[in-house]
Amino acid sequence: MPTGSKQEEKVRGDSGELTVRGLNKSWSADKALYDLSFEQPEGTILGIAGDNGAGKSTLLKILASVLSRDSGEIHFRGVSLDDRSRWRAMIGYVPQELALDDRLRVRETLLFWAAARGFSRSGRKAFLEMAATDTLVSGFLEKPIRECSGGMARRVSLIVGLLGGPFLLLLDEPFAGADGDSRELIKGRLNLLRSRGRTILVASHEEEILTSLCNKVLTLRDGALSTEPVEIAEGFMR
Amino acid sequence: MTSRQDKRAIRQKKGPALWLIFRQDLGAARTALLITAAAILLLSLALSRLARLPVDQEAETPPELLMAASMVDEDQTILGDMFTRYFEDIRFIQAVYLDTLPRAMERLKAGQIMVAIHLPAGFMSESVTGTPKQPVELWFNPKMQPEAFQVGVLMDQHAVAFDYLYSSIFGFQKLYVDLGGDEDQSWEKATAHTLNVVMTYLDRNRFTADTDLFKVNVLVHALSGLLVILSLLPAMGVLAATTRTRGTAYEDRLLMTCGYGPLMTARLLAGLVWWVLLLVPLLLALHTGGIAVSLFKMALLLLSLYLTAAFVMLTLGRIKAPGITLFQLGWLLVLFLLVMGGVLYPVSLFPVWLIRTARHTPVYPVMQTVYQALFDHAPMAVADLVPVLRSLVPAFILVLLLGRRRL
Repeated sequence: MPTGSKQEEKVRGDSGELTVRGLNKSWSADKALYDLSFEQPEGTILGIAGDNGAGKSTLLKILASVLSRDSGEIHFRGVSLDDRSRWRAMIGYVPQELALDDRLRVRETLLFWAAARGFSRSGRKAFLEMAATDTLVSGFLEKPIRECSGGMARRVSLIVGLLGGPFLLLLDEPFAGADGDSRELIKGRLNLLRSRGRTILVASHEEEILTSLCNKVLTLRDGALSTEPVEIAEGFMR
Repeated sequence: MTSRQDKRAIRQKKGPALWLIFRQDLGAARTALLITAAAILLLSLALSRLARLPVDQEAETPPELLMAASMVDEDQTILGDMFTRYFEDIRFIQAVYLDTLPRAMERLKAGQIMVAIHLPAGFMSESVTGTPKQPVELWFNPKMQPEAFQVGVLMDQHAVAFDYLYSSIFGFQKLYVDLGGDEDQSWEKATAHTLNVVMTYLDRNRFTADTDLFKVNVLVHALSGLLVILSLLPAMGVLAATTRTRGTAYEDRLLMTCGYGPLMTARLLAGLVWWVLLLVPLLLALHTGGIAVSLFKMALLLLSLYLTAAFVMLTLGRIKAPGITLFQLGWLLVLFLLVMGGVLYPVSLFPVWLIRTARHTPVYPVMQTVYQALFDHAPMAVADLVPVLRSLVPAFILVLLLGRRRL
């Protein structure tokens, strides 16, 4: 006989959405996130807007399971964040910093993270062949990371975050330092992923980009929702 | 997929991830590894040549440990002669002057001697008759306090033994005379017997046997110290690697992708490669030269020291402080361990309380065991490996509790 909580998870799993309820996080006496609650349906892009220090990165780090929370419940596709191994298998995280080893070439970087993700030798080879035709990185696979422009490095970082085909993708300032072409390429890829049913959270202080990309935008101020989520009309999304 | 299957899949990921991080860390240090390998190879060659030279079994006495003493025997007794002969036989005592008390004081002030021993007038006769005797006075050179303290401890121990011998043997002899025996014959026999006992006692040298002060070979000491230092150095690399990535997005990404275990293990393994590179050629050279007999056990001992230090550094690296502060702390810790382990300065010259403390630090047993094994050219026993576990086990527990990144 299943327990009550398991039945509850089953229900959540059927819905497939990301649910955040009563999330709190504080640094010593300062509240980083305060009673944050929202839901995001599967196959949508949610924008997190806010000024520097509003709590965007903290929220994404908690969702990426690399930062603890004080309280609150988080579920996605029926899995609780507390079930860390299963949670991490479902998500991809692209941090604000590039988080790449600049001593490696792009090709080596992709191989490294593919292996770290548990890809077999043949899987890594197939992935590299795919990368060679991927518009995001195909032009500079042999370039050392330290010689890549800001936009190129962002694209590599995004590809690393996409390894393993995560159902939930967390992007922290994915357009920072990227030029116009890189921005369009990244946006194009995120739209494609949405059309394939992936759930995406994008944190950025550039509200214009969020409005043009996301289904819904939350604005954080001092760790709390400053207004009700803004639904973006279909026509505004490019 | 069930939770158990997920966990198994994650465990399967850790192997390749560990290998990759390890390879990447080593690849970054490729040039440094090559230069170090060349330097160590040269050093090993020099050591193997040195090992072929005839070895003087008698340990040479370092000049800085040589000392002089003055004997002030007011009555010029046989006891004074005995003391003088005894001190002359000790390698560390360069000269024993037979002085008057004022002359001995002048020498002390001039720094020519470390200690003056004063046998007061009537000391011998009072001892023989068993009447309360004046104390033997020791005057120490105030400019050489640690060394003088060491001598003082030894002399005090001898004084206690003398006191016991005199009070028991001469006291018994006096009782015999009081009971009506032949006085002349009893004095003669008891005195001869007492002096024999005292001489036998001095020859046993029992109070000097358990300290390293009296058999220091500078070359062997330097060699043991070098092995210990080289064992500790890779742990500093572990600290550097930990502080470099601590709290960064790169570490976040690795943590999320494959957990923190592979990252920690890869750092330990990279340190291990450095350890092998630094130590193994030297140990092999010492082994082929016949100096290090128990190659495997000595390697195991030094490896345990590396692991102890590496566990501590992994923990230290997680403290929330700037990287440079942690690195300075790491070096301070290593310096402290080297001093307390007797690598930089013989521990036997410390005050007694500090010697007792030093014996509980991780480097001390390793340094003592390695020194003894190299000095004696003797095989090591398995029991020699046990003391280092006293530090290794707590260090392992420490890293398990505090060294891992937790959420």
